[in-house]
Amino acid sequence: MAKLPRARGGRGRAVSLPARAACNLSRALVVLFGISLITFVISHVIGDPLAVLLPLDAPQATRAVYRHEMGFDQPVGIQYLRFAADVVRGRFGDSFLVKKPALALITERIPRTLLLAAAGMGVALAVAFPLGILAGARRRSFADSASIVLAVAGAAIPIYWLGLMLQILLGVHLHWLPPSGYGSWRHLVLPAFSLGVFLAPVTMRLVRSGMIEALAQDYVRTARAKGMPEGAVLLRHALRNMLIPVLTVLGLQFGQLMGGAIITETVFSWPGVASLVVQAIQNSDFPVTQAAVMTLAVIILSVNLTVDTLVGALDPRTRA
Amino acid sequence: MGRIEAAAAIGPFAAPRRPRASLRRAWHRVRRVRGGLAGSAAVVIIVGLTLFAPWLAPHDPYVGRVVDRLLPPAWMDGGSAAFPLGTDQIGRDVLSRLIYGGRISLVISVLAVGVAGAVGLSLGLFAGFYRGWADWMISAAVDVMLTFPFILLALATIAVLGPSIRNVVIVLGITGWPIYTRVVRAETVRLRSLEFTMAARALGATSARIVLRHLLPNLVNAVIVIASLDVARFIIVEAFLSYLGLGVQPPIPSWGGMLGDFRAFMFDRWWLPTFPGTAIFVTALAVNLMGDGLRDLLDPQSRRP
Repeated sequence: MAKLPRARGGRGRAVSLPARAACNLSRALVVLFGISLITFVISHVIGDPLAVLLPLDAPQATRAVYRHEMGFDQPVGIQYLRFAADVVRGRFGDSFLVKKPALALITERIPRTLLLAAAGMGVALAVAFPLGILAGARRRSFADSASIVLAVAGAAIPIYWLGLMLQILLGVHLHWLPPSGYGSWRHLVLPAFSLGVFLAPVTMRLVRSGMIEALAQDYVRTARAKGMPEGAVLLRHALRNMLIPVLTVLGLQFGQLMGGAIITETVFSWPGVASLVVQAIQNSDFPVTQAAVMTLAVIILSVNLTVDTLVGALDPRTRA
Repeated sequence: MGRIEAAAAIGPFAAPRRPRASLRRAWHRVRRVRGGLAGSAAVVIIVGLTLFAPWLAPHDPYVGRVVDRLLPPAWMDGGSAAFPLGTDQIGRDVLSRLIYGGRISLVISVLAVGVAGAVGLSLGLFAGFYRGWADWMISAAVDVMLTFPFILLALATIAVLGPSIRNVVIVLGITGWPIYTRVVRAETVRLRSLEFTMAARALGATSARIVLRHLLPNLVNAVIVIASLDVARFIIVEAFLSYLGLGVQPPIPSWGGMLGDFRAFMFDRWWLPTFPGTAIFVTALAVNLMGDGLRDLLDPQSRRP
């Protein structure tokens, strides 16, 4: 379903790197504003922060005092501006559960989430690239059928259940790997594999359709006509040209990768940002939830921005 | 010279049409979507099972006897033929709960897809037809929603709204619309610039008439295809919410809820977490296969090359 963008800069025009970066940056800022708005609406408009702060039987008078002191009796617009000002300065307040600044709780967990994300992406790429290239190059072959099975089955398997099954089989029954937790590389294997299964189908479809598109180009026919070995045609001409759009789309899907990490971390008790968010959400720990949502948003947008800007810049065709 | 030779002389462009040619072509198209047929058959079976749950389920899904608790499946030592897949921690029949749980999962996903599709379709049509600042706002909102992990938005919203079946439908609906909007908007923009739309306008058709009679019928196929694939996605997400305790609440049977309960038995009763997960996987697989088949039939442009 995912359509590959053409090697692009605006509408097919070549655009200089700074112009492209500026355009992407302004888009990222709009998205960041939108996410802050959603976070604010969820926590302050739909939800009531006081409901969590005060015991259920707190008298009305106490509620009113708190409401005034925290500024929750101000107009919504003012409340949003104050919220946004705090967000920009990184002040999210202390976690309700642990008396520590919410942002500190999150920043210490970011490396672990990035480690898991990188490992999962590595697994997905290791499966998706060879299979996608073979499937795209040899249509209706065994590799192509295998890729279709992987894509369809992979998209249907709930990875939280896959994770659970792996824990039972490899962790509990065979004792090959620790079923959950954090520590050595052995703890990383199962979560990375689960996350890889989550990402592989989409990645593989992208690689396959990118390959098919690249192989239909004139330069491939020329390469074949001049007697180049097929392997060189595939790897040197088709693959290189296909990488640019595929990497761009993968970069833009970093948010989905984080979504997969949320599920994987929860199942494997991996102590990263994502599992912290789920705990915070389950316990109505608003400062941590808000800080985590905004931090994740910044991480996702920076990755999108960097990939979209740099990968495009690598393509000589988009240079001005 | 007979008609056939005359046709052959003109060349392949005027191949003689035999009366059954179109029927045969239709059959070819159906054969190409064998996966879709298998998926549709499985979907029909699953829907039938859940529809006729009261007659098919061997036991009441809400009632169990403590003396029957944690029985293994019938084929294992200590299993009882009365409980084919064994019983749960308070003695309820696992098979009956799976059948009734499927009902909940399917109803939630289909309703949620309805909400998401209706919202997404309207916004996409509006943005694509009127353009201007409304288009900019809607497209920016789509950008925001698609950049951010869908699951996190769903989790955060449901935590605030409180867990219930109705809220799961609302949350999946309001977090699932952007994909429809993106597709519908792009297609509307394209269709609007085509001649038939201008012709309709030149004939004096109102905007409402153009949208309803000329644009909508051209968008339906794409929306149906996304919707069918979304049903599978929502089944998986709903089960995850229930697994975390943020979705369907006990004692109502749900696949995700059962998976969450049975997780505690992963060390000594592997079969318990296996069953509900298999149910989710098989259902999502069947729906996905059906959706892929539908895409091949309805939306030839995006067909697998």
